[in-house]
Amino acid sequence: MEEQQDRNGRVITITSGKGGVGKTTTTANVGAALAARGKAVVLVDADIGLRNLDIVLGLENRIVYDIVDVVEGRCRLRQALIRDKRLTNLALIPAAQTRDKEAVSPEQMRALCQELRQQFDFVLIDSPAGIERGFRNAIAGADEVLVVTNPEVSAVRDADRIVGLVEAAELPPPRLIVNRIDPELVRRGDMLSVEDVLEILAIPLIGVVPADETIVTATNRGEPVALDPHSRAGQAFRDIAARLLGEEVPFQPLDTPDGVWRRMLRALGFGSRA
Amino acid sequence: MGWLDALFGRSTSRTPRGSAQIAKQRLVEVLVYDHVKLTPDVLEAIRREMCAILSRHLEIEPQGIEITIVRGEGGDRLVANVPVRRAGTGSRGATQ
Repeated sequence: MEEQQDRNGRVITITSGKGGVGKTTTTANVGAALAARGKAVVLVDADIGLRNLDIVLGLENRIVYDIVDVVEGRCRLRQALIRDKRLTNLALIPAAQTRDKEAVSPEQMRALCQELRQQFDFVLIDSPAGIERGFRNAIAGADEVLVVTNPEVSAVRDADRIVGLVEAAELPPPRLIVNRIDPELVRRGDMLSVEDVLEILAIPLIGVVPADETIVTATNRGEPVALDPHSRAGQAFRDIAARLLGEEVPFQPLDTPDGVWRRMLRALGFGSRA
Repeated sequence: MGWLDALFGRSTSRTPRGSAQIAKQRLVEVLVYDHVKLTPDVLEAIRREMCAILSRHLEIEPQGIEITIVRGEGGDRLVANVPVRRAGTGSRGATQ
């Protein structure tokens, strides 16, 4: 893919404010889904000091150079690109593990994004949590921003803060991914619904990802769940990729037969959930 | 689109009285504070004082007042929606 010059790709930053809402999982899976659609995709782990994207993708043993090596000129860009073992058009630039966020400047990130967009259709940047330097770096070269949140007070509050900062940076309004929604809890009135979150954040929705244990098992194995045709969360990530490609994909109804089945079992006294 | 609907116990939306409603109420309150540094107490005071001033000139329905914070292009806006009684008829319209 390096040979084909200037693809004029899109730079999309995935961010959230709050940590632990699923930014890295989202980056890995949306990237894998886009790559599975034949797009040339590079994922950039911008969480310098807390490298994680390599783990989610199962590429942790292949790292030689990282993003700081690239921006400081210790290696060529292509040397730091780790090719995914399943999808040949998916690549990763890992974060440095032993440096901190000050090691990269917004200008350097902007330059890196410019270079990457010539070679790839999609440059997905996994932002660190927080609203400081790491976040500023992550959005410095972005064309678009996706905000990941969970249906929880603290996560939505932080997402709201991020929306304001993205707008202040004069980027287009970010699009929202509501991650880890539990349809059963929403139905009982014990979890904020997607509508509640949308009403509060007032930004366009691009994805709803159900809480799904296949994410846990896939992450344990280092395999993107987006490549599992039977996973509902995987389908949600494939839908997000399709929407990024401009396709009109209806949002999946959250009450799937699986949910009904679980509910019946619970009604009969089997299984429980806090 | 606005938020803060849940403030002052307004309940035009669907009403499952689960913890999600509490979460939404808390979220709305905390975001009002984040955006405009107003606590629920201060908002309640604003509502009371608006009522008092408007009542001098108009017959209003104090219970129906909605105060909303709306995120707009140029920043946040405070929008008050005040139902008024039409003189003589007792029927209601609304003014902003």
